[in-house]
Amino acid sequence: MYKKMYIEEGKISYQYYLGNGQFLMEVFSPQVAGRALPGQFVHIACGPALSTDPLLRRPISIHRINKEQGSIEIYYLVVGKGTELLGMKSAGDNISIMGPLGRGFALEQKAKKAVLVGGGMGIAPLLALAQELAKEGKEVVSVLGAASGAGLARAGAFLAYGKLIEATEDGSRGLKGRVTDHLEASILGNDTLVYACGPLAMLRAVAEMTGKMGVPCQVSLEARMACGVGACLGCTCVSTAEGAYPKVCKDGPVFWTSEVSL
Amino acid sequence: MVNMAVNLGSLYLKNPVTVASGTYGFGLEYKDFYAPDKLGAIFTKGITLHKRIGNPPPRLWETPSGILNSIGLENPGVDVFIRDYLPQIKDLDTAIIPNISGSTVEEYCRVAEKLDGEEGIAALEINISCPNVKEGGMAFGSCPNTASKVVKEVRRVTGLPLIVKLSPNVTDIVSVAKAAEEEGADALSVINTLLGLAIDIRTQRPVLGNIMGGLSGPAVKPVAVRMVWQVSQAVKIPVVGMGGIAGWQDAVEFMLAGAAAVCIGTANFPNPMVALEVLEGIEKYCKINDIDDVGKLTGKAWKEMDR
Repeated sequence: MYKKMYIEEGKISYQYYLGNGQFLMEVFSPQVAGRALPGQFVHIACGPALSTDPLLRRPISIHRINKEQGSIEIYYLVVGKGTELLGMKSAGDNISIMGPLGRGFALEQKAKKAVLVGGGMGIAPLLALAQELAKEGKEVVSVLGAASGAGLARAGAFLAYGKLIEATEDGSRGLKGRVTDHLEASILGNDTLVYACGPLAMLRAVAEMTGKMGVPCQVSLEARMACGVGACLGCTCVSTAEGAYPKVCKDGPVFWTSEVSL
Repeated sequence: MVNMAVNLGSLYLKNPVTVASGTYGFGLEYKDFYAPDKLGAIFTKGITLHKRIGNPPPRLWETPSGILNSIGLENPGVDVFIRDYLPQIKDLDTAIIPNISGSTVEEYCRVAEKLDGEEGIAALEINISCPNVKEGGMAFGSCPNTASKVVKEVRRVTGLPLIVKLSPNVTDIVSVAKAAEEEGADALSVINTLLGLAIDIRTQRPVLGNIMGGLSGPAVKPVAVRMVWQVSQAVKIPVVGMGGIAGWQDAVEFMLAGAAAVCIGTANFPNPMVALEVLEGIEKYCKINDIDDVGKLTGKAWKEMDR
């Protein structure tokens, strides 16, 4: 049978604390890495084996994919019980990884220029995308924002793939303000596609701006999830079509702004 | 060799390990992980006469060793199930058991009628216990009279074995179980989820879009084991035990309490391989304890208890 999802015992090659509750972890997980695409996510069992609390895996987007090495990187924020346990793991520990899951970002699109908009932890899935788009020969502009400079710990990595614009709400790093305050100039002009991930308010603002300007836009959503494979129907978002609740895990996590009501 | 096959009335299962309705889609979602025909049976996602879009998000909330859900019977409707999904699963070497639901007795009957003529369906599970829909569902399973009525009418329109899924959200589950047995149920599924609620202390509002939801997972296991214990002693028909099974030890416990087969639900989410692990574990347990037929575990705890 043709396989596309795996459950794999991944070995942590490193885990760094980046400050402000943020971690960067690399996991050797060759089956998952081998099939992973930018924008997809992995479902990670964060607690000790056989523990039922926390009960569910945690869906975490893939930050970087290294197919040659058979590893993936995740960049995550401690927000609760699961991620707190994940943050306590060290290099050499094994973790159960399920993936790659979901529909990632649309690649091989006609637009020659890609503008990546990331807010806070929404920066996480965009690095793998920036890398892939640069490989495709696209012009990549990354507009990344956070509340303060501490939230831009991974922004520097985007420089390898194109132009980088940083913004912080407190002005401690880059431009002062929100990403949406500094976005318009970057998406002016034809032949542009916007990819966004971040807080809902940011996604709404980006969707509205791109909608007005007629620029196609994809957004990556998050939701509390149980199965991660479309079986439990728990992680719904709201469709723009009447009477439908798409599933973030399987229909997404990446959607065109025309598909979902944010 | 341990005989792992069990019979639920006229329904033959090659082994007692099945997956619970609502946790395994229509049997296709997990096929990347293992061949679903290793299972004794697949209870499908709940099916209604017409398409249902389900409840507004959020639908899911994790609780200590459990989850609350308020999916609300989202499904494409029985006709689409028959046209698009059944052909993909009907040839699997496992019992396909659609879980059916309705807002009226008439709707239950029409769904049953439509499925009755279809090839590849082993039995029907009648859901009179969904806590997440306004009409029907749990309303039918909350009292013996309405439960009787649904089972009686569905019994008239189909010769398929009927497994009635009972709600734990009742004062006396035994009376509902007896009512279902009397009207011709071939087996009982015990239990559906327990009605629960969670409030987000930051927003100071209920977390689920539909306010209340059904609690499942290891948190509910002792309640479920108790109900299997009570029901299996009160009726002559077999009981399919479920509620928080997360490993083979839990499954053995349910069988000892009186279950002839077990259903694995919520545990599929964190561990998609759990059903196979449970199957293997039960077989090993039987071998170690010199039990040649898995059916001998059923009710052993009360059958052999000194009173």
